[in-house]
Amino acid sequence: MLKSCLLCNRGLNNNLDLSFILSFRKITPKLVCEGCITSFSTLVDHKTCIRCGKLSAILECADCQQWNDQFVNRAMFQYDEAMRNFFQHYKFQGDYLLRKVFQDQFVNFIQKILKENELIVPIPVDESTMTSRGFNQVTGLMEGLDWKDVLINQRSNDSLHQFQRSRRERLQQDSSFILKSGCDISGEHILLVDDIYTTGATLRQARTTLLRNGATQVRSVTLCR
Amino acid sequence: MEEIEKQKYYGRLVLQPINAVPTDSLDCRPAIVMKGNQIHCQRCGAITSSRDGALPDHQFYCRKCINLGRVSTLVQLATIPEPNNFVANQSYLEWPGKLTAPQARCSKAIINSIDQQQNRLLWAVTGAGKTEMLFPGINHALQKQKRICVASPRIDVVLELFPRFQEAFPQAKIALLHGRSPAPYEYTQFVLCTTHQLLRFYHAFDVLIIDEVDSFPYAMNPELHYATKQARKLQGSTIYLTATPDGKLLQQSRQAKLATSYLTRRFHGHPLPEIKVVSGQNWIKKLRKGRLPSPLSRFIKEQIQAQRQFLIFVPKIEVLPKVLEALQQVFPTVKVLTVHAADPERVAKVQMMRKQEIDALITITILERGVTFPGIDVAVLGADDAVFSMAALVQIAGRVGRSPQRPKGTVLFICPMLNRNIKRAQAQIKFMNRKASEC
Repeated sequence: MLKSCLLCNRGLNNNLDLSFILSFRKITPKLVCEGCITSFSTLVDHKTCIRCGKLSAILECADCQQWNDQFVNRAMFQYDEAMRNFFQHYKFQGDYLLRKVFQDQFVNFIQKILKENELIVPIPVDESTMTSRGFNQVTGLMEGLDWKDVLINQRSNDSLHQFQRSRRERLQQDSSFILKSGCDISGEHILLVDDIYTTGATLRQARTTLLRNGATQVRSVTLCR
Repeated sequence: MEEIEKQKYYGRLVLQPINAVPTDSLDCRPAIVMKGNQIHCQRCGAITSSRDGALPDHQFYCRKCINLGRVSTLVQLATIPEPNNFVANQSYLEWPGKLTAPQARCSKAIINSIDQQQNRLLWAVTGAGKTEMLFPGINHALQKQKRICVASPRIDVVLELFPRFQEAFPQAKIALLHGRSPAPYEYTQFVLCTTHQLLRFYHAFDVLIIDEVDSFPYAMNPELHYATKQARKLQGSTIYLTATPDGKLLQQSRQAKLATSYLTRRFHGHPLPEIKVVSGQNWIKKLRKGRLPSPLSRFIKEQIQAQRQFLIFVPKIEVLPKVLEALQQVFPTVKVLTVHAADPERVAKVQMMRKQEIDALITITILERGVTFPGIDVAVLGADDAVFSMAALVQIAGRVGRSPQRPKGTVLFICPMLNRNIKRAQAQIKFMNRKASEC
């Protein structure tokens, strides 16, 4: 059991009360303190855009009206300051243990919206990121799920990361994904999984690649929007 | 490799991909050594469980020092031994001030330790003028082409020291390193940094001076202790500066394993104010009812009559608003504010106190060191709480009587019961006062 919160390092109170002990339920040790949990803002049970899942008072948000396609994404959390800070540590600093913070919730979330015939496909990271970071931040969040690696991210070494580009540049980009050789996805219904939906360009690129290669339907789920 | 390129590696630990092309000039070694299920970090010395620091494909990383850039089995540590290619100069020191006789004695002892490559503890009471005492020693080391570092666990202390050193050594280039500085690393003979930054050095310094060794986070952090060992050359001297040595340092000093210099008198020559403890039963309950504990209201009444500023320390943030509320109810004329570590207006509020725009501050342990308000008195509510270490209590008492105009003052501890930390803090102040009267 961890003694301190994974995010703020303050002491964790893992004391069990008598009613819990007598209930004979399994102990799920706390990883994160109450203060840190409440700093994230959930999108579940909130009014969101029916297309991208963004917090939105209107049915279809301005971004999606601009896209004007049939893309559907579901998200769990808002991508706000607390989330940005989390990804700074998890993804960019490379603290792989932090995957546990959202892992269980995210896996539950995916299982809930997953349709029976759907195939889960995570967005891959490119090779140079994989060698320096050592992990894919998306699959880290999905431990315990059945997923298939069918895409290759072929962003070349000297080209920019997505977060280094402006919105316009991202939207004008051609797909940086290709299908892994030997994968047959014709007729499949696919659920793409990514960590963050910002402009939606990455997910749409992956969707284009998948549809070109014979997938019938592609929608996506992300941890935050 | 070009000289300018090499300078980045002199006495440093630079992270490189494990598959980088090897060059002759670089010494490379693995960043992580695995021993069974343990991850042994070669930068910070931490031993962690492989379960917490696992990456996919049997790779591992160290979580302890991750804020300085991740050390993992995917990288290696590259360094070049410190060459000490520095220019000998006549003298760097341009400080017009003069040391008092006891200060001069201590500063001579520091120079001796530097020459003999020995460690030394400089035990100087709060308000003794430690920084000035270092100037001759630093100057001596710079002239002898030694590489030197002054490190402190606290970033505020480092930021406060920098202009003072720069003024005293205008000819020397000083690198200022801390977690919030955006400037890239530059190779200099004189380094001023937080103790965390020492993790990035390897056998770099001949002289390593650590200020406020007893303070958080250095005191309880084995990685930082490891860092100070690694950052200094095998032959060299480490000088510890503190007002409140504790634990191992105190033990070594008592067993005469660590040479110790005492500076028992404040610069104005008066003894330290001693701690007065009064029992304050149920102070939490009283606060909850909106009342002040009676010793505290007596203390405040005295302050109002004498028109003096004062500080009230409390153990927890949650107590701050309650004390404020009760105080304002009983003494509506007193201008008082609360301040804590995460307070965005922290600096401004301390400034207001300095300018005497307000009468009092209610605070937690952040104001225990480094801040000087002349002529104040101090009260500590719940001094027996675990957050007040012996060192913190001595430091709190040390806020009082700093000005030559009013070298005495009241240090009032209000607590239900005495504990070891309070007793030891009292004993330490008495010990220093006795030692001061002996010499």
